[in-house]
Amino acid sequence: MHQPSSRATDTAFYALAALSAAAFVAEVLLIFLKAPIEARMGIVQKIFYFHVPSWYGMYIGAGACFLGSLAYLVRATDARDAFARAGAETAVVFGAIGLITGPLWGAKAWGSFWTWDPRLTTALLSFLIYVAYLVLRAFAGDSTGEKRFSAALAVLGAANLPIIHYSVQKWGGQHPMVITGSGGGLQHPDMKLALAGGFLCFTLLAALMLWARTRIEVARGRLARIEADAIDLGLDTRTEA
Amino acid sequence: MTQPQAPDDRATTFQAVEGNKGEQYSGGVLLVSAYAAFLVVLFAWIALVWRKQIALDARLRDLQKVVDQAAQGGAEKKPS
Repeated sequence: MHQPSSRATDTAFYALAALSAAAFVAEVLLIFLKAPIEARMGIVQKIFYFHVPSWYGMYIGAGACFLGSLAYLVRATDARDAFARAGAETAVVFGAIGLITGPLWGAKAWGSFWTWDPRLTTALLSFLIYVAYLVLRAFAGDSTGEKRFSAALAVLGAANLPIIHYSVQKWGGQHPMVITGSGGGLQHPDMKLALAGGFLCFTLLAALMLWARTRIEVARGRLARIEADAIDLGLDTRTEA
Repeated sequence: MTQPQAPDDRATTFQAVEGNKGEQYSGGVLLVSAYAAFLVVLFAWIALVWRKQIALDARLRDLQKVVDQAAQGGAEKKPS
């Protein structure tokens, strides 16, 4: 039977899911019906409203993975490990979206899908670090040693995040700097609105993904402990499917 | 050197592009591909989470079955 607090948590989770879905519908309408077509690039510029927020979502996931891993190294708990793992998965999902949508935009803007530009290279490296983390977690087992090793990888891997951000300023390259402290390159207020909507949508989606995956990982950890207790009591938990 | 065309000429004549002077990639196709890719990645993640949830449910069911069997066995052993 559900406890009242559990029911409240479920309600909050479904409310967040509904809000995210509604925000995405509104964002698509904003992008295609309200934001104007860019004068030089044409309709393909509309990729920008999902591409930039997807990397922002990747930073949220990577930040969660870093914080969860750091906290786990300080004091190991299942919830901290679950949060780190959820963060890595969120980073990979959003990183994949960014790595697919970016080259599609580049094909039109640069005439090629990929160049070994500093921003692109460091972004790919970061994506691969989180893929490596997930592969490690999937195949190396669930003991404390493996969890600590993965946490260390996530903490070290986070060092690349500021490098991605500042690579354009430091080393130049082809990647544009549209969002800057001095106002940026979006010339129309509806373009700014569409981008702000994109950031909101991806914040909600990242929060939803982190929450969903953390809950599943925490439940998986509890179940594994109960199974171990059952085996200690002489109960055989291996039943036929 | 070619002379600039009058506005009427531009509006009424259509000339084929010779060689590879046109757009290399269609903006519309790239845009649709980008949004399709976003949806594919998102739904792939949802499917993955769904699979994990199903696996968790199966393990819970197995555990429940074992606990029920143990409880039944314990009840049978009790003297009436």
